[in-house]
Formats: sequence, C-alpha cells, structure tokens
Amino acid sequence: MKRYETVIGLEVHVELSTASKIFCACSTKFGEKPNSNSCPICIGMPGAMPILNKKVVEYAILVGLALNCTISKKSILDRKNYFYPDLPKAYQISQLYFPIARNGRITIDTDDKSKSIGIHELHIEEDAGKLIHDSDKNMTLVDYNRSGVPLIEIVSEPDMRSAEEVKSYLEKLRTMLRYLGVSDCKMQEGSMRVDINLSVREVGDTRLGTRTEIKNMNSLKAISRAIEGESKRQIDILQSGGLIDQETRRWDDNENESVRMRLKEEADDYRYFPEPDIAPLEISDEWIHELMALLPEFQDEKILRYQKDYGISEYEAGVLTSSKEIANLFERATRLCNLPKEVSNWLMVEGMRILKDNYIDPWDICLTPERLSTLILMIEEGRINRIKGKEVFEKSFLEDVDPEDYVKKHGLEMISDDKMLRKVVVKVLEDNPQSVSDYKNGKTKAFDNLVGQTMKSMKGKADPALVNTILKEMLEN
Amino acid sequence: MKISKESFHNIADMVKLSFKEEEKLKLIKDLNHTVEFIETMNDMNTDSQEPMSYIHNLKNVFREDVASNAKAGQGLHENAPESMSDYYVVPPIFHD
Repeated sequence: MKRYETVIGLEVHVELSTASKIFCACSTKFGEKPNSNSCPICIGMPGAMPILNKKVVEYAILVGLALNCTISKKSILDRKNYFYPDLPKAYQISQLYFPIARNGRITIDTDDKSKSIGIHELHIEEDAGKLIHDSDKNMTLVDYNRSGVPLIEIVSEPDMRSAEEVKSYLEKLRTMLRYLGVSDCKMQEGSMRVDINLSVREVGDTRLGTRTEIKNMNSLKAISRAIEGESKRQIDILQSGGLIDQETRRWDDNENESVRMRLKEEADDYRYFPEPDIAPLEISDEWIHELMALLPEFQDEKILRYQKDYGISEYEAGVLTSSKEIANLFERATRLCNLPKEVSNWLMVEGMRILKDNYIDPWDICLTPERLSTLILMIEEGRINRIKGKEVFEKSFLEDVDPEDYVKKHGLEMISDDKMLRKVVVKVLEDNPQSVSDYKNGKTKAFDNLVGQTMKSMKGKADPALVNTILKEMLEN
Repeated sequence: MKISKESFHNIADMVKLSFKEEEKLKLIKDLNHTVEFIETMNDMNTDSQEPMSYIHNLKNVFREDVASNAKAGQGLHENAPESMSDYYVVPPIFHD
C-alpha cells in the first residue's frame, strides 16, 4: 500500500489591539452596541477618505521582525474587490503585491525535535463587519462595529506535516504575539482566525498535491480534528483512484467532516489594484531600528535564562514564561524577595490552578509583584502559615486585595503560643480516643487526623510545625 | 484581447448586474472599443520601465492611534433603505 504525507500551510488572521480602527478614529472595542463604533469611513460612504493608523504599521513591522522577516522599504495597499454585505465599500483594503514583510521563519518544537517553518509574507488589512442571519424574518442584519478593525495576515510556507506541528506553530505564534502586546489572540472571540491549506502526496514525492482550503477555524481542537479529517478524506479519494478538486471547504465540527463551499473554478476574481486613496508607505531604516529596540525578550530566551539565573527546571521555566504577565510577575517578585523557588512554586501550583478554575487569562491577574513578594515574606517570617497563605494568595490573585491588610482584617496571623496550643491539643486528644489508640497501634495516618483536628479548632491559624511537635510529645508520653 | 459574450457574462456576474439582451450587445461593443483604445499602449516599448502603482509622487501620511468618542455612526443606519433597531437590514444571505 502507498504511504502518504500531509502538507499544510496556514493563513492566520490576527486582530491588532489598537485603540482605533485602521483607517478612521472609531473605537475597536469589542461587544459594544451594534453600529455605535462606525463612521462614514468604515461604513464606506462615497468620498470618505481613509487615513492609515501609524500603530497598525508599527505592530506589523514588529511582528515581521519577531518572525525574522525582511521588512519592505516600500509597501503598498491594494483593493481586493468583492460584493458581500459585510464589506460596505465592496472592496477590502489589503495588500497583495508589496506586503509589509516577507521571507521569515519561526522555530517550533514538537515532541522529539525542533523544526523551522517558513513565513511567506505578512500584510495588513481591514476586517469586515458582522452579519447576523435572522431565519425567522428571513433577513440578514449587519453590524459594522468590526468593519475596519485592523488585521495582520501571516502566511506560512507549506512546511507543516501534521496536526501536532500546526498546533505547535499556532501556540508559538500566539505566545509571540502576546509577548509583543499586539493582540490578545483570543480564538473564541475571533481575534485569531486560521485558514488551513492542505494537500496530501505520496511519501518521497517532492511535488505538491492539489490543495483544499478550510476557512475560518477558531479553536485549536477543531483545527486538529479538521486536519485529521481532511487528510483522511483526500487520501481515501487518491487511494480509490480519484482526483482532488481544488476548492474551499468549511469544517463542520459537529459532523466531524468538511463540506464544500465553492470550487476554485467558480472562485472569486478579486481584481486587485493599488489603492488610490493611500499613497505608498516608505519604511525607513531608522524606523525599523527604533522598532527593533522594542522587541521584548521572548519565551525561548527566557526559558534558558531562568534555568541559568534562578536554578529552576526547564519545565518550570516553560510554565512561568507561557505568558508575558506571569513571567513579569515572577521576575519582579523575585527581584523584591530574592526567593525564586518560592515565587515559582506559588505561581506554578496555586497560580496555574486559580487560572484554570476561574477560566481567566493571565492578563486578568490582579496580583502585583509587590504583593506577591510581601505574602511570601510573611510566610517565610512565620507571620502566617501556608494554609492561610493560600487563602490570601487566591484573594489577592483575583481581586485588588493587599495581603497585609487582609491578614490584619481577618486575624489570620499564625498562632505560635505554646501554652495555648497545648491546651487545645489536650482537648483534641480527649475528644479523639480512637485516633489516639490507632496511633499507638502504629497507624501513622491517625496522627495526620489529630493534626487536622487541632488545626480545625484553631481555625487553620496554628503554627503547623509547633502543633506537630506538641502532638508527638504528648502522644509519646 | 476581445470581450466575448462569455467573458461579459462573467464580469456581469461578478459585479452582480443583470442586463437585457439588447443592452448586452451594446455593452460588449462599448467594452471592446475601450479595450482596443487601451491596447494602443501595447505598441510602446516598456522594457526599461518599472511598473507604476501610484501616479503621484507622494508618500503616505499617518494618523496617530487615538480613538475618538464622537460616535459618528450614531443614527447613520437610519439613512439606510432598511434598518431595524441598531442594525442595517439586507436581503437574506442564506435561505433555509
């Protein structure tokens, strides 16, 4: 039987997190009242003139530099013509002939190896409006708030061979874009959307097979399933002696199959031509150098440095640098308290758990480096114990809560009063004769129960080490 | 290059326009005149010329990334042929 390999290239659309739209001063804020963020420019009134937002070009250049691209000295915007109600001008201002950046690469890591994925080009364009289909009234409603929101499109070379590599590429790209602060890359809100170009060929063949394009994917899991489903579909066709049609398909995640949208023969002819309302952009070396100086230290570099500077494992460094926010929290809190292992442990264990339990993103963390350092020092100095520490950590992680104030207000200081604790322990031993005799018969678990009971009657505030010592001493005598 | 009946249909379809039979014949003739006129340029030798994408010798100016609260769009949709609450209404894109 013939063996096949899958060949994948991606087009990734990313909404840039600028304050205003690409060609007008309307706000880009998500979730506003329909059509409230629109003006004659972004609803395509005749004669309204677009003026390019400088930050859009800066963000695009930054991403281009981070992706090791060549930045074009001269870049031109083009009109892409098609009729659809979400595009009020009947053309999208995009780039075809002279994109902002070209010829880049990005290194991805899969289970056993690193691999370089080529970046074909990167260009800027405007997003379209949103259509809402009302099937009851048999009409379509249009909201132009998203019309003119700036996008960059990052086009890869067909260098990926599996769903795993695609996932790794997208995660790498997303982390990089978030480190740059150019986008929040929220796939579920559509600020990162992916088109998959996929073909299959016999292993060893160097020619590309006929490809299909699957449009507008917005979840990593669906992307993996779509890649597996579509390559199986193509291999099945080839094995039964058929030919692949070049076409655009849509992935139906419920049915777990792709369905045809349109054949390439009936595909659009966009009649691109240079946008006459926007003059060519000149991108000077000075401008590029200025932007280059703004490139942050990225995850890969941080992972190496953390292992060297802080003596933490590669795995820990990977988790701590998974977002810029957590990496900053770690680095700054460590600078303040000089206890990298402690800071790392709190963020790795409690921090990651809280993020997961509450479905929040790293940029929603309220905890400041100062407060994290204060909390860790309070524990180190024995002012509160770890149990209460967790409560304070969670509070100040999720809300604007100062650990010092919180501990004072709720009386959480650790109790290390020997005399007082002895009294409590005596009472606990009296109330739990079964545990006492279990312990004496060699069941060590009974000891934990007694510690637990003592902590409980102290409302969790007792010094656990001291409770241990007192219990041991009393049980042995 | 010549505009055939087929290519005319293609163009008309792309720009979502429909024509009567006699209009089509007239338009095909007109379009062919236009194409012929432009084709005179084929006689020029342009081997040493760089393709031009912009006719004026200008370079772009930018605006700073500042969002205005002007809400210039407020009420604009009311000028549309059809609107409903805050939305523009267009003919259905999908049929059930």
